[in-house]
Amino acid sequence: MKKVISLLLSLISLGIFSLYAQENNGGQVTGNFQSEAQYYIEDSQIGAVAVDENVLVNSWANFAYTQGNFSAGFRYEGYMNSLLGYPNMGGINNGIGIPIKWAMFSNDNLEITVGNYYEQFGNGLIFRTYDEKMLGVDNAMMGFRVKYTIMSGVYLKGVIGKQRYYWDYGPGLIRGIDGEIQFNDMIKAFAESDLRVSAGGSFVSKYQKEEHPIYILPNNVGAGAGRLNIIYKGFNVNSEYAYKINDPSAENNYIYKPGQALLINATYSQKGLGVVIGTKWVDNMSFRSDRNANLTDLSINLMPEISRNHIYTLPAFYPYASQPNGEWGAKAEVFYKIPKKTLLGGKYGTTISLYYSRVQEIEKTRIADSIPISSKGTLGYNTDFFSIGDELYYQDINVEISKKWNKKLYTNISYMNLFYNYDVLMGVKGHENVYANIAIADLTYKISSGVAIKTEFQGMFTKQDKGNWGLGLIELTIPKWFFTVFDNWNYGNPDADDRVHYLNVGFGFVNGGNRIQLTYGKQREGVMCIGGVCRNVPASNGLALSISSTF
Amino acid sequence: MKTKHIIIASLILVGFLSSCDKLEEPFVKDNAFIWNGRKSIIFDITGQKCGNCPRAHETINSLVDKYGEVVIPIAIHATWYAKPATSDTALPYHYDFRTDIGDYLGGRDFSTGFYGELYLPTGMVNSYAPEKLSTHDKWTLALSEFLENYPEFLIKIEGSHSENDSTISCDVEVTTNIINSRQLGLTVYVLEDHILQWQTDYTLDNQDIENYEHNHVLRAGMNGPFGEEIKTNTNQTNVGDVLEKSYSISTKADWVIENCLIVAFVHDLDTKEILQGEVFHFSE
Repeated sequence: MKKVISLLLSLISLGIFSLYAQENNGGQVTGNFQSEAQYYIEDSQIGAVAVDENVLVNSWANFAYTQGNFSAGFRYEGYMNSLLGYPNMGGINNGIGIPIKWAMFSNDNLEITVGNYYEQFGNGLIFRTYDEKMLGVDNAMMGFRVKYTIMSGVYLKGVIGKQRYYWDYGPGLIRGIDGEIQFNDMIKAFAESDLRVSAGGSFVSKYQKEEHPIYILPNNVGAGAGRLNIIYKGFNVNSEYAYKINDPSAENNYIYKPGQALLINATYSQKGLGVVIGTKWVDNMSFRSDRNANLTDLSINLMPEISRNHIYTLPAFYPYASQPNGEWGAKAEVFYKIPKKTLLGGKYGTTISLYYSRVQEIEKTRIADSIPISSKGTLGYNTDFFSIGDELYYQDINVEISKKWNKKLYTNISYMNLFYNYDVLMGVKGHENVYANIAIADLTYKISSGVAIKTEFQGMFTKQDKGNWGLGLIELTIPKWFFTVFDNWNYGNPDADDRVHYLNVGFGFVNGGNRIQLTYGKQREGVMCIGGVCRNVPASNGLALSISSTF
Repeated sequence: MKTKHIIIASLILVGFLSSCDKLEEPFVKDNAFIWNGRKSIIFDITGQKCGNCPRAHETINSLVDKYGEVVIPIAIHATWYAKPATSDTALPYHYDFRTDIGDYLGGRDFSTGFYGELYLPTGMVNSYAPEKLSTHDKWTLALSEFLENYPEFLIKIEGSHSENDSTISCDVEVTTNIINSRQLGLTVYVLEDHILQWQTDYTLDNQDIENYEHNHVLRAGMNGPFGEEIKTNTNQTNVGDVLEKSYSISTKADWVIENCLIVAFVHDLDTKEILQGEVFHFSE
């Protein structure tokens, strides 16, 4: 049946494109292509391996056709074979084909999508499907989606389908509904009000047949969420609470405790000043369309991260991985731009940002003295709503100062103090926690129009894990071209033999929508996280080619 | 029209709300076996000339088949039934299974040991208290009392063998898994599987079986018959507290190291209950 649907959608798409090619009567075709290739060289010093294929390539291309109220498209993907470090247990991700195909039309207040689609309810606490190629995550829905505007400011969404699982679909069937009311749009008298209020609610249920030999498992697991967003002038408060009924799974060790989550973010902004504070409390909220799935597979929801995604290399060494089985986090961030033409602001002003985030365990107590916490086949543990445990998972304190000195020189200087609970966040036992201080200086000097030279100096100082690191980077940009050299040196490794230089050289060509980059060098073993979702990055040595194009 | 929309939305919402299976305890299916991590020690006091002892071996085999790693049997050859019939290796029942530990517990030849006068086969489940001795037909029931218990302790064994000085060594870690205030003992034995020797079986016409497979045979104790005290007071131990011990013992010429295993178990020195066991196989 799946093959028939796939074939039909492919034929429809091909038919549409041939029609476009023949007649081009007002439709529009858009698309993009990206390919990431790596030639692997064995390097025993850093633990890099060669592969039998010598070269591995991940490629994908999206095509979409739009005409009036109708659009359709597909994504052609090929993992030949899958790059190391991407989810590919037993070669499950290797292959080539068209896993994503969709068609959509709207009629008056109704919008229908058939095939694959990505959707999010609220902040994603109970439903978010998305594609993140850098992580190898694609949990697209395959089924139907209906969006209906009941009246101005009142919206309803319904979804049904299964989730993509590499080249197949997961066993669970997902049904969901989401409604939102934007009161200022619904009530004309409030249309121009400074106070803007919206509220929403959603419900998602997954069905997976119960076949466990020992435990009585729920065939249907439901989760509901309510959210409220209030905006008043420069203030914005966004909050959402979610609840999930008993959902024993491999990830929570088959406990029957309901899950809860609360997310609150508040921002204030005015000219030259921005403040963000937020908190998140999560208890047993792993929600997957296969109760036996783990890692990044078949997640129905996504807990938004409370910590910062660092873009510089060394701060990103120890990224935070969300803990859906229980975590409390809080963050605070202040941006302030010192005005122009002041002593500290100078001619162009100076921007200072202070950031703090902290994540701890939630407090869990036994349901009985003789039953350890999270014992299989039990209610797991007791916890009070918004309880906070003692164990610290992660802490990030950083300050960043960016300044444009004149028309040619721009600098960005930052300092970060990091605590990283290695055992919890890496899922290991017995490793010492990491305390690190990180300093970064980023200088960009514009030589002439289109010609600039950028340098980065980064240092990470820690007595734990692999010790101190230093990084130096220089990048020359000229029209259409860039050239980069950087060395990431583990000069403080406790083992003198492992004080490796991870040297990289590369260049790229950018022209319109096309970008080609070639890099040669070593990459350290580590973890990469985006939005609290992580994958392991293996050590590698070799040549990497990246090609992307849009039209 | 608006009323219609609201009704439709409400119906959809109600439909989805019904898609929840809220469960109440118990969460376990009828007759399902749940193991929560407690491993059980079964002492099987036996002898090669004990014609009823293969029945006890069968009971143990059936328990191992059913529960796998949950069951850790220890075959202690003792009493007159363990005494070799001859020293001539060409003749039946020449092999000597006896050990110092077995002699102490069950008695050597016609003398009695710690457990007094014994009628084989006999044994115990998760205890070394004399009053817990029972015939093998009681072991399944006795084991069922412990099967679903959560372990108060977890044991980790790292074993090694040195051919140079013919020793077996091990490091044993005992980690508290449930808060308790027990005085604790740790016993470590060396066992061997797959010993092919004579065995009497009264159910057979030819009652003397030449290549009977003797499994989990006690070879030696690494720290005495009842081990040693590793926690001398009744102060509370907390989850994650670790007690560590290391032992070493000389091997004997007839031991096949690949078939040997180290068994460690912790016991309450007051109640004599064995609280958790663990195995290290040299073949792995």
